[in-house]
Amino acid sequence: MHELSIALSIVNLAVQEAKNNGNSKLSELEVEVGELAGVDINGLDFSLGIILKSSRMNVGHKIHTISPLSRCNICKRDFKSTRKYTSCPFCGSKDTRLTKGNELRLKSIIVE
Amino acid sequence: MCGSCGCGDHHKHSHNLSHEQMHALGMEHHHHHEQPSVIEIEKDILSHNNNMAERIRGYLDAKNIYAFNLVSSPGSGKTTLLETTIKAIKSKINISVIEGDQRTSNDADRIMNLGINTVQINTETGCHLEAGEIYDTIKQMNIPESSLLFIENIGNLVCPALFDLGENERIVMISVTEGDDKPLKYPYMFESAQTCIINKIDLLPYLQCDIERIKQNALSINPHLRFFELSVTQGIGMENWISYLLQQIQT
Ligand SMILES: Nc1nc2c(ncn2[C@@H]2O[C@H](COP(=O)(O)OP(=O)(O)OP(=O)(O)O)[C@@H](O)[C@H]2O)c(=O)[nH]1
Ligand SMILES: [Mg+2]
Ligand SMILES: [Zn+2]
Repeated sequence: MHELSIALSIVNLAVQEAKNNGNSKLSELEVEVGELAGVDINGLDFSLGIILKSSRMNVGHKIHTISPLSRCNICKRDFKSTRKYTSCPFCGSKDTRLTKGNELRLKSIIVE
Repeated sequence: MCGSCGCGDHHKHSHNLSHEQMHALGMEHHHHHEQPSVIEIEKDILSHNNNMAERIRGYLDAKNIYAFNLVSSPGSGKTTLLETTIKAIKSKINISVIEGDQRTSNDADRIMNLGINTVQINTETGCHLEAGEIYDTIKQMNIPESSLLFIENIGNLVCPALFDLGENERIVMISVTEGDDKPLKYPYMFESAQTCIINKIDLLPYLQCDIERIKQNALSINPHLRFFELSVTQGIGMENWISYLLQQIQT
């Protein structure tokens, strides 16, 4: 269950960012999670909810999921992928890389 | 209500100073956002862990220390592998060990009994090691130059996958009793590793296990994996493994 510790890092980061922004009050945080980031999105949602509720900060949260996308290093085409290492569906090359779907980011915060 | 800034009667700041000036002077003052404002952050949530991992990498690099992050399900044989490896090469090369477990110092005691510089980290409820605690540990360990460092992670194939510990090489260990499809069930760990040790091959006669299937499954997740097939307790395959280790520090 690393989702709980990740949720805690998210909240800490968001609180810090709000502080850096002239001590404003955090009212919402928004995260982006790639489907291949290795994080269970329901678990993260649940953990964020629990932490924010128990801290009584009255902060909402949103999670955006990002679908994976790969690019072939040989024929340079993009394709939808389901894991980190996938062969290119166009030219068959194994020399591909994930360009999206690996994110674990605090996207934005809303402050008052 | 104050006409200049609309902040009510109890404001502390002087209107001779602009808002920016107050910031520059570090003066306490209020902020007014008429309506909630969105601030774009775009920061990696694991950036703290990743920064610490880079610091570890720099430190190890400077001292020519080669570090392994050893991960597996509980009981695949990580500590037994370390014991056997240490006995085989401690006369040739210096080895240090960091043991991660939720509780007890049993694994560290086993390694310490071999006269090895060992630190136990107990994560209590934590299900993985993080770079920050490894950094603190390494700094106090006084690891000699040109040596090997093994970090035995918590027995868990899920959570440790996400946390870079500044290692040179991540080894995922699977024993033949765990099922041929383990790599498919825990793809993140196999994806993030460079090396896969298949252990307990002495038990193959008693199992319906196909080593080639394990490898194919692992390679379908990560085509770059390098394999060792071992029976740590029976000493099978150990020469390959040991000579591989010795090469890492010569180069
Ligand atoms: N048959 C057989 N048993 C082995 C082998 N290697 C380890 N074992 C046994 O597997 C059991 C667990 O070994 P450990 O080395 O403690 O496993 P571990 O991965 O360190 O376990 P945790 O730290 O609890 O995750 C012990 O009873 C070992 O004797 C092997 O090659 N063959
Ligand atoms: Mg162990
Ligand atoms: Zn291609």
